[in-house]
Amino acid sequence: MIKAEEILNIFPGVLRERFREISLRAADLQEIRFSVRQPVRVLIKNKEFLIDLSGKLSKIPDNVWHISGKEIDDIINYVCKYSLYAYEDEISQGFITIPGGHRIGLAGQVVLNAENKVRNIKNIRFLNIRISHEIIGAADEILPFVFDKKIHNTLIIAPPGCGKTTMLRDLVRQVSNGSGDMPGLQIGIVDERSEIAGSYLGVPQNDVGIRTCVMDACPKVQGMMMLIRSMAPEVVAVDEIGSKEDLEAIANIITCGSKIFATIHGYSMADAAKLDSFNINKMFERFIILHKRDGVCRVKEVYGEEKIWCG
Amino acid sequence: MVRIIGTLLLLAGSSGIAYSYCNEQNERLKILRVMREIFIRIKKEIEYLKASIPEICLNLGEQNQTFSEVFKDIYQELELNNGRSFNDIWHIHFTSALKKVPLKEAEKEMIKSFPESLIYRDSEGQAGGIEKYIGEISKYVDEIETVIKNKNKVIMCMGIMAGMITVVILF
Repeated sequence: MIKAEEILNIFPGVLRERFREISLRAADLQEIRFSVRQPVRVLIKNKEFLIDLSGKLSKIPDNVWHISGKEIDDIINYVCKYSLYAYEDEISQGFITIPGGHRIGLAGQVVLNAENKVRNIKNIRFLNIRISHEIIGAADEILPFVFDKKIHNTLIIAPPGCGKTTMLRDLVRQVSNGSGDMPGLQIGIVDERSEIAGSYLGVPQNDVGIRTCVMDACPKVQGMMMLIRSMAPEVVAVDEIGSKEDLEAIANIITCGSKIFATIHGYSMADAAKLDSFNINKMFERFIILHKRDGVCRVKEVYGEEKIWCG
Repeated sequence: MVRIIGTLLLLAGSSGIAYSYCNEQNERLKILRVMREIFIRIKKEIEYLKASIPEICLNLGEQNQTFSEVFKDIYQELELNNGRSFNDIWHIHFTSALKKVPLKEAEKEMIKSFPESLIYRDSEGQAGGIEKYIGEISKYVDEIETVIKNKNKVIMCMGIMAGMITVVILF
């Protein structure tokens, strides 16, 4: 259950009062979106609402709160604890992770360095606060396929917004803690976008298990190799793979004797098959395909060497 | 006997006034030096450690210096996350701390306005912003050092002499 205070703590001074009522619905709150000079929008249970100046939800765009550039600056300064320089790396990646594992996406005027890479973002005028919802038990359904006398290298395939990361997080938690016949395993997470563990100042804000260590805000390829060298994990977990380098790093991990849990964007086995030049069918032993039915994310199919389960 | 006592009291009073003025200058210099050290420390923590403001306040609170209690209070209030801005928190705590110190109004205002410099998005820029405050406070320190070096002895002598002249006139 998300605490109302976690939502309120994002906002300074008078802005905080406008979110007092909304914070009471924290468990259903998905996103808060700010665009300069435009109405503030919140997404609750997949429905969009506007907010009036007293903090009440509204569907009618009259008398609603239009956020100013200064108010956006105030939010950023407050969230960054008046230390924008300390968040330079996060800002250059376009997001900040805050206590509770919630993420604030940023957009504005990009500043490039001499190598044409993003150095910083100035005049931030758009914010998207994504509320982290940890679902304990999300991986219950797939656990018997992932652990079947031994742990299998597992690839979770799902379209955007279908709960891949939530599923991976809970899978990591359960395998790390262990239960019944399954001993707890040492797990290393490479959390490039701080979405799995939702770390704040290096401390995971989501429950990722007692035997899990997190390499936060680290590029996947470097992170995987660093973990193998430094932490000797029995399983490495990584979100949203796809590049040739990612697969090469995964092949190295498997060669080193560790197992891998990974996710990829896709709708079916055919999408995973696009990576077949890397012999993905030999790399992974389980393929979990998720889909959305009636607005709810579910397990659609589980593949081993052939289809072993159909939801 | 009464005259002798009166003379001594007059001399003690006039030299006391001169001493108190010199002492005030020394105290002012001491406080400005401490504040300069604090600004330099903040700048270095930002420049080399990229430490956040609450972290810096915690470190300064743990140091044994004149304003350590103020920084402890600022850190605690920042950690409360009560929606109050750092500018407000700094202003409130330093207004109360500087009430008791013999700084000039301009010097107090300069210290209280310090959070206005925290607007830069990179550590080098931010360190540069603080450098402006270090420069300003150094200017005040140099000024007082010159005053102390050149005038303190004169002021003490003048205080005693003024007392003596008053005694002579009264006799």
